[in-house]
Parts: sequence; C-alpha cells; structure tokens
Amino acid sequence: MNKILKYAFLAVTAALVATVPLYSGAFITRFLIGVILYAIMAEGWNVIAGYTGYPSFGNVVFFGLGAYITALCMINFHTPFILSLVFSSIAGALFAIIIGIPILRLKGHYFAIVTLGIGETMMAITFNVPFTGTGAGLSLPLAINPNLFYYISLIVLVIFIVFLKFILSGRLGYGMIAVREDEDAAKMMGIDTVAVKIKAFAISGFFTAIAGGIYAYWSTFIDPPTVYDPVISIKMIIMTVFGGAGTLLGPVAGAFIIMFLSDFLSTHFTILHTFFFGGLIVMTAIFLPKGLMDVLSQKGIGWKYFIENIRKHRV
Amino acid sequence: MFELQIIINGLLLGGLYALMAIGMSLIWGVTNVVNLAHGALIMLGAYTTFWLFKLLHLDPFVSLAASFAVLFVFGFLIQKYIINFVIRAKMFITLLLTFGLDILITNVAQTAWTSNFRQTSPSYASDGLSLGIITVPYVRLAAFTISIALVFALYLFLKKTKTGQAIRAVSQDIDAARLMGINVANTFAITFGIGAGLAGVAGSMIGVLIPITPHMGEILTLKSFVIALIGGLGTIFGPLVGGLFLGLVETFGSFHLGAKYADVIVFGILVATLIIKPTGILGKNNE
Amino acid sequence: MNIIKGEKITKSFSGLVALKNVDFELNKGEILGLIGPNGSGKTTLINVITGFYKPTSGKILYKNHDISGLSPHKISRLGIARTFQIVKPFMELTVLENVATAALFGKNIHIPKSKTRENAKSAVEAVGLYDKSSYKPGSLSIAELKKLEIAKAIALSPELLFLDESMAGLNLKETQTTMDLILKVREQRDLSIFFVEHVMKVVMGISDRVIVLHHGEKIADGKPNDIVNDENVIKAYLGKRYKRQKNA
Ligand SMILES: Nc1ncnc2c1ncn2[C@@H]1O[C@H](COP(=O)(O)OP(=O)(O)OP(=O)(O)O)[C@@H](O)[C@H]1O
Ligand SMILES: [Mg+2]
Repeated sequence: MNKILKYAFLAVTAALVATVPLYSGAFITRFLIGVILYAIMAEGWNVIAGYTGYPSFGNVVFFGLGAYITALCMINFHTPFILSLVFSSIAGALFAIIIGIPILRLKGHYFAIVTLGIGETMMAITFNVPFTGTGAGLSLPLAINPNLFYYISLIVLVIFIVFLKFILSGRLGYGMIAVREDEDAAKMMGIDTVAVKIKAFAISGFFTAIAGGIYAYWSTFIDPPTVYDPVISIKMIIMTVFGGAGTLLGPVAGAFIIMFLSDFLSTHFTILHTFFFGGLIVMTAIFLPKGLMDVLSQKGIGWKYFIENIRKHRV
Repeated sequence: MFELQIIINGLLLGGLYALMAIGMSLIWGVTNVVNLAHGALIMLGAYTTFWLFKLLHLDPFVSLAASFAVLFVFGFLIQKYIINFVIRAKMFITLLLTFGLDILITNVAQTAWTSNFRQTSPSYASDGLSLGIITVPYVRLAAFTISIALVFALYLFLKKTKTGQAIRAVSQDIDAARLMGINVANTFAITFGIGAGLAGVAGSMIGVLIPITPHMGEILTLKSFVIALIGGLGTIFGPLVGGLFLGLVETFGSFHLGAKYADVIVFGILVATLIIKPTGILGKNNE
Repeated sequence: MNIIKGEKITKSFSGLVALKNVDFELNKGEILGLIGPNGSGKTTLINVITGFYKPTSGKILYKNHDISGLSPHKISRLGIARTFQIVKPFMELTVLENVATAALFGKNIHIPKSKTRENAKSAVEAVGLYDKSSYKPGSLSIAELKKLEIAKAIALSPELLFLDESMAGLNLKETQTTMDLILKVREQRDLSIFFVEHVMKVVMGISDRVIVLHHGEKIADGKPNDIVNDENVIKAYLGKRYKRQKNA
C-alpha cells in the first residue's frame, strides 16, 4: 500500500514538473529553466569533483564553449538547434579530453588554479579571434516557442541523472570513487586512473556544454564576459557543495534552493543580494562542508553538528 | 633599441609583481592556504590609495603606509575569524572559502564604487628619466624600488624579529611551534595580515599604472600564483625571481604578440611550469 | 618453477641508490620473507615490482614475461596484488564497499559485476571483518585496518600477493591471528606470497625462504634457520633485535 502511494506521489510530481509551462506563467517557467540549466552544470561538476575528487574551478569553459559552438552553428550554418547542441556536447567532451590529459595529472592547489586559469584564457582567446565576434558578442535568431527551452533542458537533466546513476553502478563509477578516495590504492587495484579521470571530465564537459548551448539560444545573445564568467563556475560549485557533493540528487536540490534564494533576494533585498553568493560560500565552507544531504542523513540534528564541524577543522 | 626599453619596462614591472606575489607565497608557505582572494586584496589596496588621493589629495606614494595598515587589519581579521575555522578541513574547502571571500569582496566593491574605471593619476604620472634612447618612467622606477625594498624588509623581519621567527617556526612544524609556546592561531592571522598588507601596497602602486576596477583582481590572483609557483614556496627571494621573470616575459610577449594576449601568455607559463615540475620550479616539495 | 623473478634490479632517487643489483626469485606457492633494517629498500623493492616506480635498471619477469616498467594497473590485472605499509583505506566507504570495489578490478576486471559480490564477501569473511562490514574505516583499530588492507588485496583474486609489514603495530594475539590468516589464505587461494616483516617470530613462523636487504643490497637468501645464523645478517640486522625478541 505504502509503495503504491509512493509511486503515485512520484508520478504526480513528475507529471506536474513536466507540464509546468502549461499552467504557470512565463516568469516561473523562466526561473525554472535557469534552475534546470544550473542543475545540469552542477551535476556536471559533481561528476568530476564530487565523485572523482578533482575540484575544477573552471568548468565554465565548457559552458562558454558550448554556448559559442551552438551560436556559431546556428548563425553561420543554420544548423537546427538540436543538432547544434549535439555539436556543442561533442566539442565539450573533446575539449575536456584535450585539456584533461595534461592537467588531470596535477593535484590539489595546482589543479584548482590551472582550471581557474583556463576559464580566463578561453575568455581572452574568444575576445581576440575574429570568427567569434570578439568582444562584440553574437546574436542568435529568436526562438519561436520559449517553452521549448524548458522541455529540452528538463529532458537533458533527466537523461543526465539516469546516465549518471547507470555509470555509478558500474566499474567506471566505482573507479571514480576509488580515485577520489585514494589514487595510489586505486591504481594498485587495477584501475586505470588516468582513463577514469579523463572519462569523468569528458562526461562533465559533455553535459555542461549542452547547458551552454541551450543558454545561448535561450538568451539570444552571448559575449565572452557573460558565458566565461568565473562566477558561473563558482555557482555550480556552491550548488553542488551546498546540496551535497558526491550524491546523485544533491546538486539538483542545491541548484533549486540557491537559485530560489538568489532570485528572492535580488528582487526584494537588492543590497543583501550583493553579499549572497560570497556569504553563502563562506558559511557553507565553515558550517556545512559536507552539504545538505549529509545534514539530512543525520539523526536528531542539532547545534552540535555545526559546532563539531568547526571544532574538527579549526587551527 | 626597442629591446632595451622592453627589458627595462619588464624588469620594473617585475619588481612590482614580486611584491604583489610575495604575500600569496608567504601565506601559502605558512598556512598551506592558497588565497584565491589575493587579487581582491590587491584591488582593495588600489582603491584605498585612489580614494585617499581623490578625496584628501594624498600623494599615492605617501598613502602606501595607510594601504598597508588597512589591509593588514583586514587580513588579520579574515584569517582569525574566518579562515582559521577551516584550516584543517580538506584543501578544497579552503580554496572554496577564499574564492567565496573573493566574490564577496568584489561584489561589495562593485556595489559601493560601481564598475567605472578609475586611476590614481598624480601630476607626475607620465614624467620620466630620459637616458638617451630609453626612458625610465618615475612612477615605475619608484614602484620598483619600493617593492624591492619591501621584499628585503620582509626578509629581515622574518629573520630578525621575534614574530618573524614565530612565523618561520610555524611554517616548519606546527606541533613543535605549539610546544615552544607559540600561539598558532595568532601567528597565522599575523602572517595573513602581512601578506594582505603587502598585497595592498602592491595594489596601491598598480593603481597608478593601470585602471582600477572591482574585477581587476581576478587575473592578478592568477599572476601571483604563477609567480609564487615559479619562485617556489618557503623562500623570500623565490618570488623576486618569479616576479622579474614574469614581468619580462609578459612585456616581451605583449610587445611581439599584442597586449591582448598578455593573459594567455601568463596562463601558458603556468601550464608549462606545472608540466615541467608540478611542485614549482625553485620550491621545496610540499606535498 | 618461479612465478616471479627479479634480475639486477637497481633503483635510485636523484643520487640516492635505494636498490643495488637485487636478484630474487619466488616459486609458485612459496612464502618468501623479506627482512632488513629501516630504510634498506624493502618497500622500494615492492614499489618497483608493482609498477609504482620504474626501475632505474634491471628486469622483472612475471611468469616469464617482462613486466618491468608496466603501469601499476596493468600489473594488477595480471594477478599481482599488494598491501601498503601505510594503509590506504577508502575513508568514505564502508568495509564491505571498500572490498566490493576491489573485487570489481584486479584480475576480475572482465568478470560480470554480479559475480564479484560473492568474492568481496568471502574476502571480508576470510580476514574476519564480517561483523564490521558496514563500519567505515574511521572506526576501525590498526589491526582491523591492516586486515581490511589484506581483504582488499585478496578480493582482487591475485596469484601473487605482496604484504608490506601487515603486522607492524599489532599485539601478540593479533599477530598470531594474522599469521594464521596468511597461511589459510595461501592454502585456500593457491597464492604465492612475498612479505616484508620486522617481527622475527612471524618471519620464522611462516616463511619458506627469507631474503635480507641491507643498504639496498641483498646480503642473504636462504632457509629461515640458515638466515638467522648467518654472520652478515646478524651483524647488519638481527644483532640485538633478534636476541631481544627471543628473550621476550
Ligand atoms: N619516493 C622516494 N624519493 C626519494 N627517496 C626515497 C623514496 N622512497 C624511498 N626513498 C628512500 O629509499 C630508501 C629505502 O626506503 P624504503 O622505504 O624502501 O625502506 P624500507 O626498507 O621499506 O624501510 P622501513 O622498514 O622503514 O619501511 C630510504 O633511504 C628512503 O628514504
Ligand atoms: Mg617500508
């Protein structure tokens, strides 16, 4: 009986989520598209950082690259949108493999800073090469039906989560977690750690680039500072960490909650919004380093949990 | 004879770069935190001097002391009341935290002072010393001289003073330092304060040379890291070598490839350095 | 017939020679003990054989195939497993998950996943950690962590197992159970074992043969009883240590 209820509940929720544009206003749909795009990117970051243990600070490069590939395909070759997204995703994965080969050998601070630098560098390059429209940016055709973006991004997110669940139950998933936990031990178990890391990074780049492609057509205008903005990287990170890195649905929950708070503050308390992301990151790092999912899995949570986090990590 | 001028310019810039990076190197070496908010601190130094110049007509080179003091206190408080709480967490958490601070500081600066370009421009900003075919701009010469002087001052401070010795003891072995009765939390805070103060002074002088914006720090964090990396941790003169090197390469590169590629060059150096030796060129192995 | 054989293995770290022309041989089914003072190159030898370090010169033949310089994961897949002197558990996973992860790899890399579960369970049982299957390593004792390390290694279904000081830090009783465990595992799984140990009681108790390293050079190779009476070995290593342990 309980089970039937549970499935019924899930089915109703799924149906409600899938049909949002039919009964809600443009404003809510717009907001949710943003949430879903960030959920895709956060989940992408989760694959390489949460599961594999390589915290990239520059995943925005895949977003920017995806945005530019879709824009250039649609503008120059009139490629259909979906096909452009396919090109974007392939480019994202390839780019991840190319940069991954040298940089996934680095660890800790070095990996973090290099990934941070890649974002800045791609921005500089895009500014300077002529076919990207340089600093002036690119304008895309207007989409006929704005609700399209909701459905497409939702489908991509669902595919991503199902795919990730599948990966996690197989050797690649176990290999990723082993690499995260101890790379030397993983190697000695017969795990090809280099291949595991590159695959994880490629998956990350693949889906993040799709989010970029969807964003480009949705916003109809892109330029380097918008799509290579380092703040996008930090948003995916904080959403994942806040929700729970290394959990399947934590990043989705994180994306929803943080986007909601951010939107709420920016409409009602503009000044507070200035402090929002920075403040949230600082608070999360101090009080919630393991994320919301870890808090929810504790029995009888209280002040102790937070105090304990500080006690464990302070000087 | 362009080449000679480029070398002069590169070296002068490099001295300033060394000062900019030495704080990051010091903090990294002592607390093992790579401070991603370093560029934001430099930016705050630049604004401090700018406002003192604009509102009180204080000469930028006089206000260096104020810049140091403001940033020292700010850095001390950040380390003592924020970073110290996560110092033993995973390395990623400290990176995340300082990145959060970077965004916080940048956003507040943008809200308070807008994104307009500003510049500290004293009357003598474009004067220079003519030596036949080459010119040495006064402000760059002054910035260079002060930077080198401060690097030496830091060296003496760490070597000769009690606080300096405490800092070095903590960077060698925290537990041993604690047994010697050193207050580690405070030593970390002082270290961060000094690093921030020096970043502030560097920012003050950078603000005379290039436009000041809330976002100017992003690339400066990267540059500081590259210099610290080339120089290696745990040395004072390493960053000096790294700074001069980066100043030269960047000036040469911009001249031959165009200024637009300056940042790309910096990144190229970063990746090349890491591939050649993942723990830094002159550094001790720290992992 | 030998399962693995090393010829003139040399390894130097920027000037410091950690291994100098070391020859060794391990026969199928044999338990070979490796002893030597601290810093004599024991762990380095295991690291070179298992692919962690590339030998500076020399050759390693596993079942008559040259494996010197292969990467660790390839060597592992050929059926060579090891434990680490400083244990390397996966801290965020439970004991069973730790071992289940191992069971998916190593020599099992091509076996369907569903068939590896049993292997993991039997490895956990074999080392006596069944009761603690759902514990995380953070709450295990040193002895248990060392056993977890062994469980992970045998879950890889190896033919050749390297144990790096699996008994260091254990008390007498724990040492005894671990010794029994090693003998049992060898019987049941038809393993050849190469182990490093300081505790002479263990070395005498379970080795078929012993080799001794000193300053990176092999100074003795033979039956346990011959080794403890060897002049060179007593001078270089056993000296006081063995007398002390004997009297204790
Ligand atoms: N990665 C490395 N880089 C430089 N030197 C190393 C490295 N690994 C080992 N050494 C050196 O090689 C020598 C042999 O070390 P090894 O760890 O093999 O000794 P061991 O016999 O296992 O000692 P113990 O009984 O203490 O475990 C030591 O002098 C050690 O400092
Ligand atoms: Mg050893």
